[in-house]
Amino acid sequence: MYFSSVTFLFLFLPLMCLGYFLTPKGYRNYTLLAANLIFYIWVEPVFFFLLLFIILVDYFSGLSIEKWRQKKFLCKGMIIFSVLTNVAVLLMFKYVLLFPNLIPMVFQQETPILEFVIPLGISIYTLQGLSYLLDLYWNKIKVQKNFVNLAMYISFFPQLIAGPIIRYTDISRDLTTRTVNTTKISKGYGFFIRGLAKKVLLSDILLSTWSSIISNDFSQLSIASAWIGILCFSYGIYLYFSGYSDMARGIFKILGFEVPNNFNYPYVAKSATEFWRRWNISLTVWFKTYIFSKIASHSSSFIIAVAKLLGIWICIGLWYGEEANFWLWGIYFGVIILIEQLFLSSLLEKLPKLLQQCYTFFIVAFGWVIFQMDTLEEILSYFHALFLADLWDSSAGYYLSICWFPLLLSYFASKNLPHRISGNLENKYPRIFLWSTVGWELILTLLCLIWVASGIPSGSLAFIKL
Amino acid sequence: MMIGILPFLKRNFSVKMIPACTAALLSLIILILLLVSSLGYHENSAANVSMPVLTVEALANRSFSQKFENYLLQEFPGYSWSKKSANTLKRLIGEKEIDGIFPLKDKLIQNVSMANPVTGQKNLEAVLNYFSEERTLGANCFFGLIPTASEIYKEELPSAPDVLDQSQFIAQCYERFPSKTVIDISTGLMSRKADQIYYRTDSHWSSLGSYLGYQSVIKALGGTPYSEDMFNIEYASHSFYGSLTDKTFLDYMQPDTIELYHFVNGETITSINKIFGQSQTISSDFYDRNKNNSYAIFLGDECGITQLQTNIANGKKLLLFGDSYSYSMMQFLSLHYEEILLVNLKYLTREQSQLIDVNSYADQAILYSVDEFISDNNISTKLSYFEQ
Repeated sequence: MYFSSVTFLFLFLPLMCLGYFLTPKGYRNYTLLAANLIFYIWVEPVFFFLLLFIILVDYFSGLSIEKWRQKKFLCKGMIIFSVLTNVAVLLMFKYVLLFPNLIPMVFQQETPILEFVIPLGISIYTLQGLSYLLDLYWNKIKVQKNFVNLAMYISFFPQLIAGPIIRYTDISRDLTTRTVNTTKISKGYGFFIRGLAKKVLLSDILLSTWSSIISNDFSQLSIASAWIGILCFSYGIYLYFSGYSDMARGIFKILGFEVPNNFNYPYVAKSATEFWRRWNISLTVWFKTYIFSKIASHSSSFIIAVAKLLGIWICIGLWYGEEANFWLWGIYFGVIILIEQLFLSSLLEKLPKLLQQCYTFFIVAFGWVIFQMDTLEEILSYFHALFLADLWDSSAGYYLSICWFPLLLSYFASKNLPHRISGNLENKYPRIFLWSTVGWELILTLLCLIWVASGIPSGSLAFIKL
Repeated sequence: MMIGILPFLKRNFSVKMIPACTAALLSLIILILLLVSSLGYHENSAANVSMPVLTVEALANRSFSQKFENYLLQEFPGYSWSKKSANTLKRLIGEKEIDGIFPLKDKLIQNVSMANPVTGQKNLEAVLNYFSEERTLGANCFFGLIPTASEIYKEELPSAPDVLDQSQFIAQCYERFPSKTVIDISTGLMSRKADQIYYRTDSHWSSLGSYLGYQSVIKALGGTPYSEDMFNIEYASHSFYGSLTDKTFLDYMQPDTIELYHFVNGETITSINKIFGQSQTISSDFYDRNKNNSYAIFLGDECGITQLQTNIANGKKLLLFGDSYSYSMMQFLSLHYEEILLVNLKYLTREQSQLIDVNSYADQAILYSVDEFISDNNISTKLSYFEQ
């Protein structure tokens, strides 16, 4: 039941909203928790108990930390236990390939029901649980004594597929006191439908073109095909993640929650460092808050600081997946950001804005090659196709004919120009802005309805499981 | 409750709410229609889907959620309209391949790509193995691969990289056989490619294509084909939209005409015995007139064994292993044999295979479309039923 499925859009979501708004205000969290659990049982039934386990561990750890606040040894012991439990679950179930012996035999392939897969949302709900526990331990928040509220926060369905990672501090107030009004509902719907359109109308087409291109022998690819492929993936993966984040944000807003923006036009960034301030912001902020800020202050030498920086970037890479290419991808960005911080930033600043943006786009696009390839040989082979193969072949024309329109739309969707224009329109001609927004959202609604109901296979579902 | 909601809406309604309200209203209507459809009304009557049964195992291995999604999709109000609109939009923005089908200016063509090279290789080995069996050594054994429309009209296709070069594939397969035992079907089809030899909206060849195939087959088997003017043509339908339109809902091209070739000297088939699983039907009608608007007009529904008896008292018997392409060819082959046994390996069961006495057929042929030959595992697995 992914967000672009008929089951979600025409059964789960309407019934959930109906149930939520018909429930008296004081009991709405119960409705939401029930919806979260139904969603998870439907999508990932085998690992439902793992989610429940994490919720129970986090809830009772929180209560214990609060109870033993004055007994530092016990309090420290409890935070270590709870953090290790969350981390161990994450390592065991997400990074099974790294630690195959950790997985019990019941998950091996002899028993199809327990056939091993990465549990949906494990990298999100464990990090959310950790944010709650660490903030509580550092006295930044109050303990959540209401089990339903904490369980609802950890298991919230909108962000389970592709984020954002919502820190407890960002949402704690809304868990108990939040308002729902027509402005929030209409804005929330706007976010949701734009996110859905990004996913089904653009990302799916671009990612399936990419899949088609990389199914070829790379030595047969022309430069043009390879570049079309990498453009498709660069925009496809961005629209996939930002589409899901927008849908999540929209659902949160409809329900009365305020969550921060997760993607802020990353392709207008003028450096790789800035790109990461705009890309999957919630993840970067999480690592910055809970890891980088804690270890950076203790850095003594340059070498140790570099090692720590690379360590953080390996962790960020590994968050996306357990294979070696994700390590390499993390190291790649760690090195680029290090170089930028050492000297490149000052040189880049002297360049025109457009060139800075081009530099960033290419750096990021080359990173996606590493992100997507399984072996070093494939990475090198694709880079060979990008620069040293034949310039053009008939396949390139075919691929271009499929994706030129979605690519063009994606280019504009990834720029902040439409956002700036609509902002100006809203200030100068609010009525025109209002009606154009209404018209635009209605068109997107109709198009998404047609696309989803037509059952056009989604090419990107299996792309990444967080 | 509704009465309470109305003043609330009146107080709080703003233009900004129009899209959300529209979506909510649409969702509500769709939800109601889905409920109605689960009670008996079916939007897509062609779809053969039923509500999946919820069991713990089905929920745990996620087969229930997948089947339920498929069920909802098939029962979705306006499914065919949505599918047609989406595919039309895709075509208009330049998409060259939709659901594995190339929408050309005047026809649809199924893309044939080598999704799994192992299947084709295994099938080839199985055919070679069958022909080397002792019991077939005394028989006249022939092997033929029928190129599909994507090969005959390949110059009209967009240059998609995954389109199989069928001519090359056929040549590579034929290299493994003695030259006298392979049937060259491509040449005859290529020579008449300007005519309607494949349906525009279906993946099969037309009656004319089938006639050209018959000419090649019967020549290879040592016979003399009847010329085209020995047949009267009956037009069974002028409004045939075939499997490719069913799949994409694209019907912008002219519908197809189904032609039935009647031998001028009268029909020769006296009985048709079809064996489906445990049951069998006997008739003398080659054309299933209940399926006038479908390729299934030729011999009706596919089954494991189809036995045709004719009034040609020449004692000649043909054992033909083939796919749906062979069905329309039977109207011509039946003019040369007293008995033809058509075995469709896709539907053949082990029990049915025991009813076949391979030794009693002096002429034997394995005739498959390239599409089926590279994708159907049944060929390799079920030909082994006939090993000594």
